[in-house]
This record gives sequence, C-alpha cells and structure tokens, in this order.
Amino acid sequence: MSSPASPARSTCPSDGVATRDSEPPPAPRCHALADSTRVLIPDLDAFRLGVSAGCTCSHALALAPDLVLLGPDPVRETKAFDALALALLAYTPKVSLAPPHTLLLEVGSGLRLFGGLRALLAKVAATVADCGHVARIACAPTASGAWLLAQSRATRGPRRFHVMQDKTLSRVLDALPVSLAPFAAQHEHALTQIGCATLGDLRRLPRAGVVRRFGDGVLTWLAQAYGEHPDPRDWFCAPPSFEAALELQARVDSADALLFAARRLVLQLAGWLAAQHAAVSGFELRLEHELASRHAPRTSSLGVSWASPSRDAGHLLWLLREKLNQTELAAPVIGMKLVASDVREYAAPSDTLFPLPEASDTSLAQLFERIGARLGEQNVLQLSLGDDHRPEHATHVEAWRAQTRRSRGGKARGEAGAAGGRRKPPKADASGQSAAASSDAPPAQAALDLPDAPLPAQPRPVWLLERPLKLAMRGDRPVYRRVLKTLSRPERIEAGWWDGDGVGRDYYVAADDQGRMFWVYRERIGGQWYLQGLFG
Amino acid sequence: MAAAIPATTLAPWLQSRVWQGDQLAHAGARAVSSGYPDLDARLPGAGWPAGSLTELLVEHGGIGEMRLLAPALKALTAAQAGSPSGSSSGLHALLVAPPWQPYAYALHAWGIALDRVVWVRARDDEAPWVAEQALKQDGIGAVLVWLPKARADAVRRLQVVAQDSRALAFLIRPPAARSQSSPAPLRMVCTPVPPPADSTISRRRWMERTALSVDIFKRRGPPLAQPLNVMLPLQEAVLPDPAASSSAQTQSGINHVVDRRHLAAIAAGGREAAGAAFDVVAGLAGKKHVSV
Repeated sequence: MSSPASPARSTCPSDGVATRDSEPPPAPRCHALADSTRVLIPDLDAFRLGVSAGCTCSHALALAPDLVLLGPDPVRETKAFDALALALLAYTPKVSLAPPHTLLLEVGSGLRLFGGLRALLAKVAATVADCGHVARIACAPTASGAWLLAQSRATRGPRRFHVMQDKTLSRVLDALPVSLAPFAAQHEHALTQIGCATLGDLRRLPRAGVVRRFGDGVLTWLAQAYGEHPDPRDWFCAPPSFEAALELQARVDSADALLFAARRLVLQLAGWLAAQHAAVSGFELRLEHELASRHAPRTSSLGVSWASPSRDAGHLLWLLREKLNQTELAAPVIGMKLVASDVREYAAPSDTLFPLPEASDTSLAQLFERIGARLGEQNVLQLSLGDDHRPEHATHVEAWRAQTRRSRGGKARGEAGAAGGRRKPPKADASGQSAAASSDAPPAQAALDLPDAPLPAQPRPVWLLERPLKLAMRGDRPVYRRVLKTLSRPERIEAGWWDGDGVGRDYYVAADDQGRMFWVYRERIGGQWYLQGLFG
Repeated sequence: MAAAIPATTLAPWLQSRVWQGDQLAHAGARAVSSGYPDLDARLPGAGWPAGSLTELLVEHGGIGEMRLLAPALKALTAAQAGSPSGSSSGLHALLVAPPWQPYAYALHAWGIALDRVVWVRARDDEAPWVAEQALKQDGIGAVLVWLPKARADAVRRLQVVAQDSRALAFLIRPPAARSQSSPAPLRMVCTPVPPPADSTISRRRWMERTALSVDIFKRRGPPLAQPLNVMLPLQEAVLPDPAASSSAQTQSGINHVVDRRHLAAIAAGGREAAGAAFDVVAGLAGKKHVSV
C-alpha cells in the first residue's frame, strides 16, 4: 500500500479520568488508569509525583499515597472510538480501528482535496480535539508504518513522525525499538536476549531462524510495515442510520455549554453524511433533563430544519446555535441525542479551476438560512410579480427558498404568459403586466400580435403601506401631514369582484408642497381618500 | 511645514493610494456608477464606493432615495454577460428592515432583477447583525439597511465589515444624525426639492421634474459648494420620448395595428403631449416597434 496513512493514536482513557481532572481538587488528589497490576496512564498530578506508565500499582501507591486507580471501561472506549471514527469519515471513507487505541486513516487519495498533508493533519487534529480527545498523529506510506510511528510518538520516541517517502520510511523504521511491535509483548524477553534492540536488527536476522523462533507472522508484519507486502484492512463501516448520544458530565443549563457539547454530535453527523454521500435538511436534538420535579418532563426535543440540504458542520452548528438561543430549557440537561431526520442524497459541488469572485449559490443559501434561523424564515422574503391589478395582490411575497426558486419562477412566467395571451387588449390600467405577456405565442400568430412593448407605465411607488391609511380631508383635498395635491389623472383599478375582495378605486399621484410624492386613491363608492404608497 | 509633494511625481500605483485633501479621492477600482452623471462627478471614485459605508440621511423616507439608488441596483442585479460561468446571474441586493413593504412592480419597472432582491424584515436590534452577515458574504451586490436609531458602535461595526466587503453598503438614517459623528466616509443628506411655482409648470411636468437635493457633507474630497439637485422622474417614461420612439420605429413590418403605446400616451398625456405623439402615430401606422 503506497498511500500514506495517518493514524490518530488517541490516548483516550475512559472519560472518568478526563472529567475528574478538570474539577478543582480539594486536596492534591491524583488519578491513574490501571489494570490489575500495572499503571496504564497516570494523570498530570500523578506524573509529577513520579508515577509513570508501566510501573506496578504498588510502586505507584508508594510514590503517591492519594493515588486513585481507575479501571478501564472497554465498552465506553469502544463507543468513544466509534464516535471518533464517525467524525473522521469526513476526511476519508477508509478509516479503520487498530487494536490499542489507534485509528488508521487512508488519506492518500484526498490530499489534494484538503489542500495538502499539512492542512489535512491540522484539520484532523482539530476534529479530534473538538471531539474531546487528544491525539498523537503520525503519517507514513504504509498503514503499519504509520501505526508504529504513532506508537513511538506516544512513548516519546524519535522526532520524526511525518514520513512521506518509502525510502525514508525504512530508515526511520529501522531505528525504532523492537518493543513497539505488536508481537513484542510475547517475545520481548527473547528478542532482547539475542541482542535485537531495533526493528533494523530484527530485519537483519536470518529469515529462516526468525520464522522458526517467532513464527511466520513476524516477517509478514515487518514486510507490511515496510511496504513490501499488501496490508488489507477492515474498514470502519458507518451505520445505515444516524443516531448519536452523548452523556453530559455535568448538568448543563446554558445554551452555550449545550452547544459546545452538541458540537461533538454534529461533527459525527458531518462525518457520517460524508460517508453516506448525503446531506441533511433537518435534525432533531433530544435532550434528557434532570428530574427536577415529579411533573417536569424527562425529555424534550428540539427540531432544526432548513431549506437546502447541507453537510457542512459549521453551518449546522450555526443553525443549531440560533435555535438554541431562542429556546428556553425546561430543566438542566444531563444527556443529549442527535437524530438525523431528513437525509437526502447529495453530491458535493466540484471546485472550479478558476475561482470566481461571486460566491456560489450554496453559500448564499446558507447566508439566508442563517438569517432565517435567527429572525424566523417568514422574515427573509422574496418578491415576485403577481398577475393582478390590485396592488395588494400584485406582489407575491414569500419566504426565501433556494430550491424551488427557479422552477417556481419559470412556472409563474408561464402562467403570466398564458394569462396575457388570453386577455383582451388591456385596459388603460394594465401597467406593468404586459411586460411579461405573450412571449410564447406561436409564430404564425406573431405577425398579428400586438407589439411586445410595455405600455407607458403609470408610475408605481416603491414603498407600499401594509394597509392603506385613511386620510383626513381639508376642504376637498386629502391631508397627509400636509395638504396633498393630485398630479396625475385618475387611474382606475377595479378588480377582484370574483374573489370577494373587490376594489373600485381611482389612483392618483399626489404631492405635498415640499415635493414628496405619494400614491393615494379614492374609493369609487364613498369617496374616501386613502394613502397606499410612497414614491421612495 | 513640509512642502506638499505633487501627486504627479509619484508612481501611478502610489498615486491611487495617496489622497490629498483638496482633491477628490479615488475609490480604488471598485465603484458602481450611480447612473446620474452629475452625482458621479461629485462622488470619490465616480460612483457609489464599494468597500465603505455610505450614509444617506433621509427625512421620513419615501422622497426618492430608492430612485437615487435604483440605477446602481439595476446594474448590480443584472446578469453579467461577460462573467466566465456564462449563465451567471447578477448579485443579490438585500433590503434590511425597510420602513415599508417594497412593491415588486416598481422594482421591476426600474429593471431590477426581482429574484435577486431579498427583503429582510428585522427588528431594530437585529438589523445591524443581518447587514453585517450579508456584508461578510461574497456574492452580495448591495446591502441597504434602515436604522432609524443606529447606535454609534453599530455604525462603526458596519463600516469595519464594509471595508472587507465587495458590496455596496448603504445606511439610511434620519437627518437628525447629521450632527453626530460617524465613521462612514461618505455621508449625504437627501431632501426633496419643493415644486416650483404652480403657475409656471403643468402638473404633469412637475411629476417628471421631481428632484432630490443631495448635500454631500462628508466625502474624501473638498466640501461641496452647494447641494446637488438630482432629477428623479417618477417613472422613466411616463410619456414616450417622441425623438427616441421615432428612431425606434424605423423598422417597417406587416403589423397592421396601431401602436397602443402612443394611444395610451394620448390618453394619458396632456394636450401638448398628444400633439407630439400624433405626429408620430400618423407616420407610423403599421410599423413594428423595437422595444427599448
């Protein structure tokens, strides 16, 4: 295997250690993760007292009498690794779990996509850190080689952990101590006895003798590590549906803290989506509450949904943040679960060779979704022309939608065209509509059609009042702040008798003595004056 | 006191970065023409500057501020034929918290692409946030934000984001803000021009001669001697321009109908307009109109 693999060797003890670390210690209490005989990982306080990984428990207790030994929890460790593997699927579909706390990522095919090795390593490290773990990352052209380097990094071996070339790899690996190899535990004694300290020494031994003494597996493993033998792996398989749960280590009652915790779940979701070539347009965050009182609800759920499917973790977090900021928590939260509800297929947009200054529609859609998430979708609006003479009905205002925008626009145009074709030569008040009319008439008809030119449009104001404002009168003139004077001849709009919202109005352009222009009308019946718009 | 270095002795690329206070500044290459030559001549960079906040102080609103901005919005939202992606359409224009509902027909009549206009209804405290987000985004052509009670720090923030943006940023405030200091490099007061004496002008002409007096009281350049009157007719062609239409009518066809544009002109216009239009109609029955 010639592609570099980058394992993240995560020193992820059971979460118990990590949390208790962060609490302010009343006395210098220290902890260590230990099995029945030896200390596996000491925490920083224990390390300062001299406890090191690998020393016996009794030795450690002698050095630090307050040391609390904690047992590893394999089930939770597996869960933590699965979650991490899920989040790392965002970078490569080939993630595999290697026995002692190591994840192997084959990244050779994605280096260009993520902007080179350095950028990719930084991203992987950031994702691992966001998931709440610490990783020692190494990379090498072979999976086992990368695994070895990561192990050596964990035990503070040589300085070089990022190897790209095959040649360098064999040189670097030769210098590594043989005790790092997975078979070392059973053969370590024998290996040191025969004076074989490094992997280089082991390779120089006669092959037949090695096979006889240590078995066939050793040579195969060596060949795999040095890239001389294929190294097939079982890749991590993402589950077919997404559901991730997180147990919080403290009661959380602020949105910020909740968001911080939810970040881990969202990262997993993003990784899972990348593996499934999918995107979500909605998810549900189920919160588990502390039982505050008997009647308080045990769980609550928070649905977040948006228009255009996305798998960008940053964007999902943005939307979640806006939602959380608006939500009042019923009780402190002790656990949460993320369920992807609305999953759709999604192909990532391809990069352009020459990046354009204009942003893609996707990022614009995300902008409008963010605004909509904060202000409410009904407040991000798009205007379109309606086929009606009544000003109230002539503008269609609808919430901004990325997907349906274009298709609906086409349909509306079609309808307008049809209506325009059907209509008799318009009345004098058909002002702007004729622009859209009769564009798709058959060619034979075209010669007989009226010219496709807009009528000399009657002026239309750019600002409309939500509802017409009844104007007071002074003499026979309407008053809005000042006495108004009509400038134009009446433009009669009489429509809508068919839908129960009929109007019969004479519209005028009016001005006051300071030069402001208004759009006013007089009811045909009753003669009451109203202000409907302003010429902004 | 050091003698002023004449700007002409500098290298050309430096000249554009040095602004001497008695001249009008260049606004880099990023300015969008306002569509009014008189106004362009008085704006630094010969147009509305992108990458800085422009403050319009408007009394009451509804006096022509949108007509002032309309040509620039039209240019921004129009599909750009020369762009490499071919089908690329124009940039978006955001109206953030306008005091009234925008009327689609008016925008359409000005030639603004409606699918590029987004109207955001926001409360006063949310509007600066929306404007800020929009200015940070690429692909936005113009952001118009109405802040009747803008706090100084909000304006400051807007100016900071606008500096990194490629969009036009307009802040529309009441004229009381004139006395307050503001970080916006271009500020102007817009006031309607009172109509002339009624006896000298017909009401129709009055509608066409509506003007806005624009007083640019802060700009990168010498102060303006007197406010500029920008003519802002209510609608581009309330009456067809006889000269323009006769040139457009030269192409003959078999279309034996009367051009209703002119009939409508007669119906709508006064006597003198009818007279002007009759000349044309008489000569052009059966001519095909080329839309402008």
